[in-house]
Amino acid sequence: MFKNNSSKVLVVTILATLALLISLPRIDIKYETKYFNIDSYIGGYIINLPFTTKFVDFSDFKKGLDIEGGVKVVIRLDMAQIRSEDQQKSAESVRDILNRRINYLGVSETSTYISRSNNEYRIIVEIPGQKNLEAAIKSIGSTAQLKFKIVKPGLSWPITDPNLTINDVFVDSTITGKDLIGSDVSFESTNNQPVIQLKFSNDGREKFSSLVKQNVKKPIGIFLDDNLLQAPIVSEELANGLTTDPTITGVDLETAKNISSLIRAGALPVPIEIVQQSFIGATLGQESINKSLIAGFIGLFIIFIFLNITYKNLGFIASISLLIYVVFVLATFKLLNVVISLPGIAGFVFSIGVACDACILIFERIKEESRWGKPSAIAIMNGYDRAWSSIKDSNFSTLLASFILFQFGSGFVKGFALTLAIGIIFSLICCVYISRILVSTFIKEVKFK
Amino acid sequence: MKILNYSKLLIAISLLIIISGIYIISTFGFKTSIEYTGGTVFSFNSSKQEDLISIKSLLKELGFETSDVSQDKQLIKIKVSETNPDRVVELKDKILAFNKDLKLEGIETVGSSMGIEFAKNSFIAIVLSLLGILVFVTYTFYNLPNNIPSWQFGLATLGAMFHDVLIVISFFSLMGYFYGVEIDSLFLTALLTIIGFSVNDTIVVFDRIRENLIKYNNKMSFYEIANLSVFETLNRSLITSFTVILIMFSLYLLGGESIKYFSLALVVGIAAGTYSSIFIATPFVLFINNNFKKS
Repeated sequence: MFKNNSSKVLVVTILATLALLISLPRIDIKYETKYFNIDSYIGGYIINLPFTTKFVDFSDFKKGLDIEGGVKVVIRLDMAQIRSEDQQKSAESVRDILNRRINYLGVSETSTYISRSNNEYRIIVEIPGQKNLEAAIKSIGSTAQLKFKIVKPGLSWPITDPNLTINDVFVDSTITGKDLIGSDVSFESTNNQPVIQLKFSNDGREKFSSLVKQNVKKPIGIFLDDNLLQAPIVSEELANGLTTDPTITGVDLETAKNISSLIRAGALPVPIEIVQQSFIGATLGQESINKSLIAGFIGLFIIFIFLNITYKNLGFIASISLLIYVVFVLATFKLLNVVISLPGIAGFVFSIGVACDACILIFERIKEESRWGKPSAIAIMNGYDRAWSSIKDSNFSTLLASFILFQFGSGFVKGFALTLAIGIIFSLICCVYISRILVSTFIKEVKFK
Repeated sequence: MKILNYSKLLIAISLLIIISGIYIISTFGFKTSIEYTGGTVFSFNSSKQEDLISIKSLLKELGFETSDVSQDKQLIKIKVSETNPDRVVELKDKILAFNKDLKLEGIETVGSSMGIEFAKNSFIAIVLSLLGILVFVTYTFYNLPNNIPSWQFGLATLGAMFHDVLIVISFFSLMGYFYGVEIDSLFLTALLTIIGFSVNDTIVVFDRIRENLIKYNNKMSFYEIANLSVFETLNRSLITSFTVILIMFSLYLLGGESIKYFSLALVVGIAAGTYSSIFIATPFVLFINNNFKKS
């Protein structure tokens, strides 16, 4: 696209500057003199997209739970009783219910997602910043409360006052989920309509019988986790109490199935089991990430010195390419919202090593070519062309390994694999393409020890 | 410098390494993390040296016959087999009530069913990547001059990788025995990275062999070409591993606690990978090539 080298250098400079601005955290600049004041900042931009209400937030990296601290719970869903075509749906409804329960904890940003492995459904709940493991487990793992509520004595049915909420209308009765044995969907013999059947214990049935007697033509609210599921109205036929198991009529099949399965499992359509839980304190992670980042930069600095000594002017270009590489990768992490975890940082640091490898392969090749008596310009050209085959093949094998890691790894391992793969791809761009532009523009003669 | 003149010696050394590696692994075994066995690890913070034996006897009183209590600087780790969420919380409260200096830093519980799955997935991942790389190398070096079959290169790569992996595993078997270092999913990650990167080194040498085969076709024997190629790529192999080891070593020394042993595994693995790409992979190719011709 760009014929001459200086325009290519310009494009690289612009891209690198953009990447730098994206990857930088917010740095305030305050400078006062007699003549002018500067009160501004660079980096950490939050940009409103024109013509929309959306915005892009570059203020910070998305940090993983191991850095930010918080609670993570993995729940296994027991799908033994669920037909395979309904399993995905059940998993989704469990996820929704769990979401609702977690929201009671008053946390701002939770993520719950379904993961399937080895034909097992799991739900992974991550609550960043949550300090109380007990509360989280309690709200996730407890079987929710099933309650039968009646219309508040003194209120007439139907309700006419539109200001009354559900909680104003219904009050607890003596009957709860404990009195219920089960629930099923069946069909009425007369018109074949689906109905929800409720099966009570002997004791419960007696209590329920007296409840319906007092509430003829009024609704009975069935509540789960304080959410109204159904409010069937007691029919006149039940004025003398129950003769058979009570049923809820006037529902379609889908609703009947859903509601009865919700009632059955207490709260969730399938039984759940907590298989993994962790609580991570924030200080530990933050300390680790700071240390690791500093370690990474120290390592990078030593590599710069080493490259400059070994490859002289080429080494200087390599250092610049590596710096461009670092800002490109960091900017990509922000743009793609890659979750940064500690293994992810390790993967990134390791990929700096991989990027060095590409440079070294090329420079060693240039060295050989010039040793064979080629003039600098041709040695450089041959070096880049001929080293490419090794670079391509050898990096592909590392990409292959990171792909397999991504497929089979769990959360943290996936993070490492992703950062490594992004790192490898950019190392190829920076060390092969960009460094070539820089070398062919600025290096007239290669010098080696 | 004819590195490959010492082929027999080099292969003997590798065999020695492999045999002692297998001996170490079978004698010392591994310390596996809760990710594989299931259980709970509590992390506490304390500014002074704690009486770990009293904590251990408290756990014994509470019915945990085998527990693991260790302190590394300010970080105290307690590992038990309990996985029930409620009882884990209960246990945490009891430990905190027993020793008032401790500050809770983290809890991690993994159910034992998850552990079995982790182990299975790890195994699949390692086997798949080994196979994948065998296929990849065989495919990449297809069409070698002189009708040299490319599977010989693939097999040699696999041999070199096996060597690297074995060295790292036996190193961690020793580390587990002497320093209580555990095998966890991060270790698996390191292992797969080493597999990927050690092949990287080997492929660079093989790539040079291919190039020289074309360049010096019929002017040199395969043996001479292999020797020349190893020599030509020696500098690059050493410099590359030096830089990677440098940066991973600074991560090991100065980096965060949780990726310390991960970095160490990479340092050891990359050192082994460089050795094997120079001293094992190519002699191995020659070895297969010779024996295959005779038969």
